[in-house]
Amino acid sequence: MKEAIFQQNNGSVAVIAVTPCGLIKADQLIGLSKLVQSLKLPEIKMTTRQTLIVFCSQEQIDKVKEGLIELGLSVAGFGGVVRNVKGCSGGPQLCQRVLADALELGIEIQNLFLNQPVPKDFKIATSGCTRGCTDPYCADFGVIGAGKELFNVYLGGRGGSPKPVHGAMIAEKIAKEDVITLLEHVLKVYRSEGRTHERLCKTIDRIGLEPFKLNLDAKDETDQDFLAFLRGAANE
Amino acid sequence: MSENRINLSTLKYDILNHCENCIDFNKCIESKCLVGYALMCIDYSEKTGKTQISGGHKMIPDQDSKSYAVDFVADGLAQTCLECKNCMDNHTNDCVIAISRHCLEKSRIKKTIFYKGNVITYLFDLANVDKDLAERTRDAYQLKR
Repeated sequence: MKEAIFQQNNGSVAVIAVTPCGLIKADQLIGLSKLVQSLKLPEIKMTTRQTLIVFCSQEQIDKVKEGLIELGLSVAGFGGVVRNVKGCSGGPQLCQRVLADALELGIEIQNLFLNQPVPKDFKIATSGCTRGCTDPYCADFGVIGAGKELFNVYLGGRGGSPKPVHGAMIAEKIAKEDVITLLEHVLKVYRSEGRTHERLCKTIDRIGLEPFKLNLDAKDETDQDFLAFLRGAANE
Repeated sequence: MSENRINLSTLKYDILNHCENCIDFNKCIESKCLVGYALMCIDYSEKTGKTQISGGHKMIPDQDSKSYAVDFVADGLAQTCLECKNCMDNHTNDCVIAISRHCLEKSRIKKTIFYKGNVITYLFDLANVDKDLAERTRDAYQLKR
């Protein structure tokens, strides 16, 4: 796997650091501050993909990498790998609009799938509601909260492109565990059917969506406690 | 987040007031009565703190054919408008307020209004189905505010 370290126009080097869906702990922030100060680095940039860019010289790359690892962060992968997950603030403790815990799910997906090999970069976004603050409609695999711990999944989106593509929904109101099962299936099909350097949306153009779909068992969403409550009232 | 909580007590009070005049009072089968079902949902929501009752909307008893006074329905609808949090894109029919609103709508106009997520649009859409009910709902809403 290649590391996301890129030469910049001004001669500096950008080292891309991965966070768990943009969450940074206080001690990591302090540590980052100490790291950049000790190396006399002028600034850090936040990216739209919830990563951090540390600008340094060629000679400082190893020290930056070591510093990031000590802080529990890592250098992002580059090329044909599953990228870090963009997760919105859609946890029950945070955004008031949340329908399902997209933040926790995003972190879990990242822990399970980050840097797995695929034909071309594979971007995942999770969002706790239909607004999609993390652009899940333009992700290769977009997960959108659709009810109490239920998610819709969109496949084959593409952003950051002069020809953006909206993904198509392949699963509706599925549980967190099923999202992960579906993602495993999608990656398996993509690895077997996708051509080298072929983005998922192009693979879908060639072979269609059907191979990527999974027959997940339909869930009965009815609140069982409510049913018991109704039965209790009827028996009174 | 307390300002975002739904206060169901007034809605429950308005509906219960009507129940006392019902011919089926004290022998009501709540699951077969539009108003009784709405009350059950409100009770459940109050007891559990859940504002979303998964599957609650699909169990609304359509077979209830009792006649309900327009002012009672308008008053109840106005109260649901007051309690509505204008969830817009996040609106679901399984919200306890949406269930109550649909029960009241069915009790009078025998159908439900597709709720687009905010009160003004709702009153406009209601007026297209029943202008009198919409005007009474609007008036009650303004009085309650």
